[in-house]
Amino acid sequence: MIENIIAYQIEYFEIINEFKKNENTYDDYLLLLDKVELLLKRNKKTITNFLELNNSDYLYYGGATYFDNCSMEINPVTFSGKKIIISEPLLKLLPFLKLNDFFDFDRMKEILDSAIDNTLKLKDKLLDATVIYINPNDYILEIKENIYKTARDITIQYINKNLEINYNDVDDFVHDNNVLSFEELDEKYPKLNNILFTVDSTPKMSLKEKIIQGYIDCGIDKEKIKDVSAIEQVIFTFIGLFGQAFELKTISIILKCPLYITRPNVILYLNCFIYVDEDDKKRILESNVLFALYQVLKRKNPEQVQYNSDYKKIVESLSKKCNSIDDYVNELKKIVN
Amino acid sequence: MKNSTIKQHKQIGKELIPPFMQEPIGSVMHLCSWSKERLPEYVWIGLLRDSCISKTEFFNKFYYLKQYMLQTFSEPCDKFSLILKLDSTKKEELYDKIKEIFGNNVLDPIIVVSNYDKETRKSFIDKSKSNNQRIDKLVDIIEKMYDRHSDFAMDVRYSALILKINKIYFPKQDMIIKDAIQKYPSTQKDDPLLDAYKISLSSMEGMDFFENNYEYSKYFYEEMYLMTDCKPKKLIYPENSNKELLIDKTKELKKLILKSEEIKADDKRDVIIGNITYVYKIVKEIIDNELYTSITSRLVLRTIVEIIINIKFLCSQEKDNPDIWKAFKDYGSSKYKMIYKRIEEGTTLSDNCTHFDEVILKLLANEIKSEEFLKVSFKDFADKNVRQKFIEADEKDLYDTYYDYDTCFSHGYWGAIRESSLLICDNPAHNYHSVADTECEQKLVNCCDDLIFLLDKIISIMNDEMGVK
Repeated sequence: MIENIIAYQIEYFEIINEFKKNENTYDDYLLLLDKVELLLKRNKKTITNFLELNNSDYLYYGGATYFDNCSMEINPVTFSGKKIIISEPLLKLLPFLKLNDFFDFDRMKEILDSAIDNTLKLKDKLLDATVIYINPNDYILEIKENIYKTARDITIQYINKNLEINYNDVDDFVHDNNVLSFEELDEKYPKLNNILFTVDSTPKMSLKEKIIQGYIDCGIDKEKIKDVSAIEQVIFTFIGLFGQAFELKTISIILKCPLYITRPNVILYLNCFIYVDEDDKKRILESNVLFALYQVLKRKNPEQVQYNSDYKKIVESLSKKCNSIDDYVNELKKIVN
Repeated sequence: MKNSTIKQHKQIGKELIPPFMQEPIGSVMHLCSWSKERLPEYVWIGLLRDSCISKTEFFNKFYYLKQYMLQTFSEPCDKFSLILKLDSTKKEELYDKIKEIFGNNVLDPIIVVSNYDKETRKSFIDKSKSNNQRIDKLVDIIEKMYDRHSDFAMDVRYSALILKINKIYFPKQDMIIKDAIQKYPSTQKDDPLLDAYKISLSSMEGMDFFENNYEYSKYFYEEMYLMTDCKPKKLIYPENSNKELLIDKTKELKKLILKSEEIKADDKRDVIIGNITYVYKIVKEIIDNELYTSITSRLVLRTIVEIIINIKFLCSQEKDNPDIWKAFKDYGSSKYKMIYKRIEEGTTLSDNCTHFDEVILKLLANEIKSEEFLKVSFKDFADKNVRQKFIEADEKDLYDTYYDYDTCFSHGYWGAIRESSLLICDNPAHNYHSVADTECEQKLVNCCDDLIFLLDKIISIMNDEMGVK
């Protein structure tokens, strides 16, 4: 089975190498992405069957755009001795390429070329299946709508619980607060700012600043949503964050492997979901350990980090005795040092 | 269509041959499947058909395309693989004509199964569509075309046929087919002639006159298989289990077995009580492990049926052959004898076989009499085949249903494998293939009532033959 995955990844590089030989037009880029998309679709059965038998060897890296082989993100992977499944980076750009009226093609070309170069750096790892590319959409497409619905449901539950209110639906909550500005929302719900965490936001930021920080990360032009009310922006942000976390959880369940997440806000919202079963619980606990490992190892030079043969035991023991990520971090610091 | 009866089958040697397979047709007939071998080649026509609201609209448009194709191309190009082989200019011209008649992006979905053919992609691509939408559309078209007698499939097959019509010679007297070709497009659903036309056209379209090459179809289905998910469907049977009654029956059987211990031991008692205790134990295993809908339950049913027949047969023979109980024991012991002798004498290797102890086998084989006095018989203890024993025990129905069906499971015959271990995939793009049921989702019909029925028979034997009530 692994041979088949490797064969697919070889074909992937053949497509990319062939593409790189030429001066390419917009249509050529579109064709390249179609070829990659269809190749990954054809590879899906092999990957799911392979992971059915080898899921304990792999992690799914989610919640960030690229995986960089040379940065510190590799450290927990090396430490755990695991291999890694990543969302194929070119396909993430397909929607933007298709909306070519709104995006400057030259800029898109630059981004795509840099994504290709980034992938070429991972070539060795892709060719021995230490890294496997997938298109996550192939795994969750049919349940996208349910994921969105669940994200809405959990958003209102989360808000109800933390703000001590009782709404049945997010729409009702939006309706009742639609005229309020960010400042007025802060005043009416002082805890609201404390429970919203966008990428790279800090506790000192105001509600509005956190939302804008989130737009920057997603590449959303804040000018385009200037007419959207403050509460709608807050709710959209929450739904987006819970949606992302639930998508990752769903992929983890389908692939039957733990998630490797490096972004604090993603792991936070992931932990808001209840466990589907014992296997899911184990995987999420391991995801927390991996997140903590990243916090402990992120300043280490990748060359200094080695595989720890006790990794499995460490995960088991931490899962039993620790209650929070801070506990994990403190325990792991002792082990690593 | 009414299927042939067993009586209409012809027995040749050890086979029953259905009427269609009988000579003289049988040996010359080549089965060529519409859905598996020809359909992919005509998905392009399916897409054209699907772009039109009505049959009339489609055939009005298709008429122009047909005229153009027959006038322009000397070589046949009804199949998509043949279109792909046209030189670039001709292909582009054809595509322009299709676009002119049917609309710009009409064949957009087919670009995912055209080997990235440049002209096809350039001519039909709809950039607003995703590959998932294209694939979904193809699956939809395959589904509509899959049943070769459906109205949609027939429109496509008719169109395929008329694209090669000037290459076919019709005998003058073959008027029905000529009528069908002329009138099919304008014949409406409620017209009684439609079915006759369909039959004529069907037989005609099925013949591959020019080329018998299904490489493209193979490629098409391989791609579609890999690019779409399986949709395994399991059969769900009503849960009408009489579990409590079965447990009561088992308790009753246990009571009778215990009562039988009061009877003086002899070979008959040993054999009957031994067999019935064996039944009791395997039924208990089914109950304790809740195996009512499992494959194991079928193996158990077969064993129980065979035990019932053995006992009934032995009882029926007892009068003429009082030693038959001994013969039954000797026959079984000699089976054990053969196994350990082979191992002892090194004619077989037992290292890999760990689920028995050869010493125990030897002890049991020598339990009644020394192996030196134990004949090894290569025939059954009663020198009868299984079916004969069922008939003589007046239980032919048990043979025809229980025994024959459950034997399929114990022998691993295809019917049992298909029923229990493979799920049907409901994705037409996968040709409704089978999917291995590795998650053990397919349950079989609950066997509780059958176990109760068989236990009742055993209880009757205890009453009648052992006098235990």
